[in-house]
Amino acid sequence: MKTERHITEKESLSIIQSMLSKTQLGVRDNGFMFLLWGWLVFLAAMIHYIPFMLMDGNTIGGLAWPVLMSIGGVVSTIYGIRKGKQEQVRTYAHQMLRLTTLCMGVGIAFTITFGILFTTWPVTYGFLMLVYGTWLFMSGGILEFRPLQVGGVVNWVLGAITFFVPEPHELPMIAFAVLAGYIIPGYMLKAKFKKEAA
Amino acid sequence: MKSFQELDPVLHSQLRLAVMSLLIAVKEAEFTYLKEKTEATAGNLSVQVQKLKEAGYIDVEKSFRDNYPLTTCRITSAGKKAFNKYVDALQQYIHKK
Repeated sequence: MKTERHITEKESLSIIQSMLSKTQLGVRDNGFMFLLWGWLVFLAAMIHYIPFMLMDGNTIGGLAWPVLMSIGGVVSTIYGIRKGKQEQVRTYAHQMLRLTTLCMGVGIAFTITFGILFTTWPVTYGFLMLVYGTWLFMSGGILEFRPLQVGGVVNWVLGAITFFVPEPHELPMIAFAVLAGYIIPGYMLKAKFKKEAA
Repeated sequence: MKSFQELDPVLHSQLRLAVMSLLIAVKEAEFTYLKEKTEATAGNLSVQVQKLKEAGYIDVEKSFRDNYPLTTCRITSAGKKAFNKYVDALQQYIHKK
């Protein structure tokens, strides 16, 4: 498109269609955040659980949670800022994904805070998995990526089961939930992103 | 029957229509994105973006990123209305032909 010239009505529609098709990239995600948080939560859950089971209820492994979640928070923030700078276009789907993630963050904060104060860890983790599951299912819909939605459903089911599980056996439940909901879909998303970028 | 002359002259231009078509689909886009997708020269695109801004159809935000100038464009509600009206008029014109 170098200089202005008279365009016909059909050319007008063709221009519109052509430009719209160029924006229909869908929302692409490289899976980084799913893998980051998936592995951090998986490791925290297992580091907490294993010493507890092998060393007569030793809770030293519980320190993994504040340490690993803090690392996740810092890395996520840095990554988010850098990624934001690289984006040339912000789509409505991106905005939906951000808002959904924000809602999940608020949900997690509320669940942990009030869970610690008023109930047991299995109940808290059960609700956490319900929150994870909702976020994964919605993200999967926005990204049009079915494995994330399957992971979401797995989290819902495990979350419901966790309410009936005695402490500390909710920990391997949550490890499995993030494996199915974050880690496996995260690797699949990463592979899809690489394939589309090639 | 609507004639061509009734189509919005601001939108009835190859590059301006292309820019509006891109912006109607996204929340906002940088100048470099618009340039890449329209394959226009920077100078020509800049002129057309200015015309759209003067018509009130887009907002243009100038800022800096890593000390480089950054221009971000987004369609206004007036721009969305004008675009939809243009498309309706176009479709009516084509169907009646």
